[in-house]
Amino acid sequence: VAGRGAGRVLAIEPGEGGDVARLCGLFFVLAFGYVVGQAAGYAFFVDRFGARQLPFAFLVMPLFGMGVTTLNLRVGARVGLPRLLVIDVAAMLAVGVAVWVCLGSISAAWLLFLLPVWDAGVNSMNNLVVWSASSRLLDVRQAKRLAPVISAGRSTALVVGGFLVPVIVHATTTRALYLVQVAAFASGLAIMASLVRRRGAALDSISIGSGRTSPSADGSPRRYLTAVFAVVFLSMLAYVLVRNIFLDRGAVQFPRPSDYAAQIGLFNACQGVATLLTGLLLSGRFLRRFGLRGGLIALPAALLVLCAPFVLLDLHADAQFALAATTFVVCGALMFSVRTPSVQLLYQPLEPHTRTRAVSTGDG
Amino acid sequence: VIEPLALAGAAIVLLIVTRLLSWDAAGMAGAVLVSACLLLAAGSIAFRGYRRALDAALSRRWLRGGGFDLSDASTRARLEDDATRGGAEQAAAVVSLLADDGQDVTPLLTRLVAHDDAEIRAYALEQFLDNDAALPLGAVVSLAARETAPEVRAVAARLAARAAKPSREAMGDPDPKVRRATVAGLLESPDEEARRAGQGFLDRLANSSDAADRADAARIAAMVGGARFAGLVVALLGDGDLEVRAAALSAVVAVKPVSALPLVVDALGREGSGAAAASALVAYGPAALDRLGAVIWESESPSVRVRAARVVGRIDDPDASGLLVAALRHPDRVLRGRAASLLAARGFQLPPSDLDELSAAEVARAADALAAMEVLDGGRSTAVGDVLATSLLDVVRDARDQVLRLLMVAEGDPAPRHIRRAITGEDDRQRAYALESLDTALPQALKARILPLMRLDLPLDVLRGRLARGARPRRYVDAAEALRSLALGSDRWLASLALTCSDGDPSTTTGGSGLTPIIERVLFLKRVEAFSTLPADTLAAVASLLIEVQLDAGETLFEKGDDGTAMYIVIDGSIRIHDGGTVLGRVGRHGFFGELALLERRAEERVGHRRGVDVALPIRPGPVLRARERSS
Repeated sequence: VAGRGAGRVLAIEPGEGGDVARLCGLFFVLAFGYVVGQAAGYAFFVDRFGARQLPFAFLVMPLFGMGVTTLNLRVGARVGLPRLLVIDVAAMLAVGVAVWVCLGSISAAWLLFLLPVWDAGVNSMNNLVVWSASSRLLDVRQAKRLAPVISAGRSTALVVGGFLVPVIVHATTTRALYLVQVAAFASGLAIMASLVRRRGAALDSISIGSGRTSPSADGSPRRYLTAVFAVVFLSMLAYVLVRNIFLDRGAVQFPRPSDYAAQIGLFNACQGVATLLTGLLLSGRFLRRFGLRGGLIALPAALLVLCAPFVLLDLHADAQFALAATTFVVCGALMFSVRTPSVQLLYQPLEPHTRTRAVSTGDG
Repeated sequence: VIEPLALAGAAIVLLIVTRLLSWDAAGMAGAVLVSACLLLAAGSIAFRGYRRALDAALSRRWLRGGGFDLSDASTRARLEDDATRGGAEQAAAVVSLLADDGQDVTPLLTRLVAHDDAEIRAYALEQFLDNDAALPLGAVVSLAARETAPEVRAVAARLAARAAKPSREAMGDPDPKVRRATVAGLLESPDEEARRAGQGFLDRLANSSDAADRADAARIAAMVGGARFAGLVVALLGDGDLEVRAAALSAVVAVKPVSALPLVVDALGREGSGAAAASALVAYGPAALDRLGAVIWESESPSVRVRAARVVGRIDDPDASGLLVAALRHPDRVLRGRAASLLAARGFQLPPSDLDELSAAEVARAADALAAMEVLDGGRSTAVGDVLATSLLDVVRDARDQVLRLLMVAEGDPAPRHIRRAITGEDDRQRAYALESLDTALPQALKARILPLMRLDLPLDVLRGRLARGARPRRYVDAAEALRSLALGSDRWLASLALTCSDGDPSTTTGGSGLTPIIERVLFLKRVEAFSTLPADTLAAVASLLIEVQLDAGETLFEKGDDGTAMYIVIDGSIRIHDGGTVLGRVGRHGFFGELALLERRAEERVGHRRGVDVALPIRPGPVLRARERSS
């Protein structure tokens, strides 16, 4: 009865519950591994190099991301998608184990420098694994309803992980976070194996590296995919800028580092909860009511409304921080609960192998 | 790749804004505003691309064809060679391609006249005939004399006669086609003496006591055309012989005598002459529309109404579109469907207000049918009750199909065709694309109403609830009320079923008159393996065609070697199939045989022979059903 009730609230139709539960659970455990790994990686990095050196790591991240994606596509050209998905999760597990072991025996600068980069790679791999599987298992109508629910698995992990990291660190050591990450990835591997066992045929409809690329109606998918990637790029760019405004105004509002850290943590949690609730309860209904067009307009419209006062009005510092925090929370929620499912919808009409490659490039 | 690149891009923007330009939060917010504007533009482009990609996914239109550059002499030469190397179809395609491009096709046609393939020769000669193009007379006369294929000989004879040089052999040719073509050529000749000779031949044929000659006279009039044959055609339309009347109807197409219009409209509803009458009415064009409108709204026969609508659909006139738009409100759902398909084929664009009103009416019909099903569920477990439930579901399915057709008419482009095919197809993923395509293309109010109707895969109670939100269906207190309502409705089939279910007497209402035997036949056909899965209304259509025949014990139905033209179903008793003393099989109640003959006939029809097909359902001893179905 509870399952049926939850299904109604989350707009899950009969027969879809199993797949949604597995995909949502998979995203939860993988994102949980990402959160704990991120906390540990940045802690080790800042402790060794200081926060001012982080931009150098940021510059290495795209290179690493491209390398991971390219490798993924190469492997995908040789094996079917089900095996590729299992290989991806197993590879994350193996690297997680290696990191944990290495941190116990060596503390070389290169290893510590690479930890945030590896963390960005984990984030890419998570998206790649979950959305590649989702795009094969769900059709375009299901994706419209269920992608926000699946995305809520990640949001839940961010909130839960955010609260648990201090507890784990307090109880054990920072390095132990990688052990937790390994456990999360091992759980992810088990879920993925179960998914492949039950839905292998649906996942294996076509090998991602084979066949020709699919032209869209005007003969080539390039123009369409360029527009899709532009949406991904610009929305992420805007979100990072908004986050930076929030961090900047926070530093002015809370000069003491402890107050600052506390407020940042609080608003991060607020954003996580807002993302979770909108993803679970609102996004699917929003997309069904306003369609994909509404989903693509929501984020830029909110950015225009919320950021215009910074430019047009001479706001007091308190008002600036309040507005920056609101923008950060609202745009974060829209980014992960509306924009992400909308972008996943944009991939759906592509031929299966082109779709997987596009998801790898866009989200990977 | 893209998201990490965006992070790097953001880092660069931040460095520029804060370090180089020394801007504060307002500067960063300005960068966000610029990004948001770009994001809106990119989203808009992506959304348009998404709709195109959905269309492509629906139509599987992954490849585009290339064209020919016909200004290039070598391409033309290559095409002309292709025309001589393939069959008649290929030759015709090349000629058409070159002619459409404004190229001179006479040299190519002259080459084709000498081709080995008789079909190509006939085609090339017909092109000369149709276009009054000049072909050396000597070549034509020579061809007419030595040609072995009658079809080619006939065309050559006509060309020769038209040039007032008919060959004596042609007038005495054993093939009537050649003789007719010669007379037609004479009548078309600019030479007065030749025309007079042709008229003499024609009069002799028209006044002959032999029906075949009179039919030939009508066929010659059809070949030549023109008002001068109006009297002849009207006279032959009233001929006592069926073949002569059919030939005269064909001649109406070319002659168009105004006084014959009522006769032709009457022929539309007559067995065996419907197709010819339809072609004739199309030839009349707008002049026939008033009478066709009357047939659509006043004829008692559903098939005649549909036939009239088809004729209207072939008439290129705005008033014809108006008649079809009016037919979208006809109580006959088959006619409504046909009218919508015809409007779509004409490229007619339905105004949004009409689309809104008509689709609302269809959704309301579907919701009413589901509401009736709800109260009838469990109330009846009889076979007729089952048929009624199936028929109500067919009403819902028809409503869905009609809404999709209306969308095709409203959109006026091919995309909704793919949507319709996908939604009514078996592929779940394609169906999802189709639904999404509708969702992105339709206005909010319209999609909120019709999208539930597109989900016939949902459980009926869920579907009923979703449809009820926008349609406000009737509320029935009980099964008896639903049956009363259906019995008084405009759908004769449902009315009759409802009356039967409520133990009423179908003959007491006009709605149910004559349908009780059909219900019995539908129930019978439901038990025949070959028909058991067909929808009830399709079975009703089949049932209305069946003819019941009774054979006595020991009587022979057909002999070995007879043409197989029927399918037989045994209602009662059994029939023995034997070859002399060897018994090949025995068919009992609900068994059938002869279906292969039926299928073979169907295959012949598809390749263009257009023969009638007989379906017969015999029993022995007992009655035999026999039905006749004509190709249209």
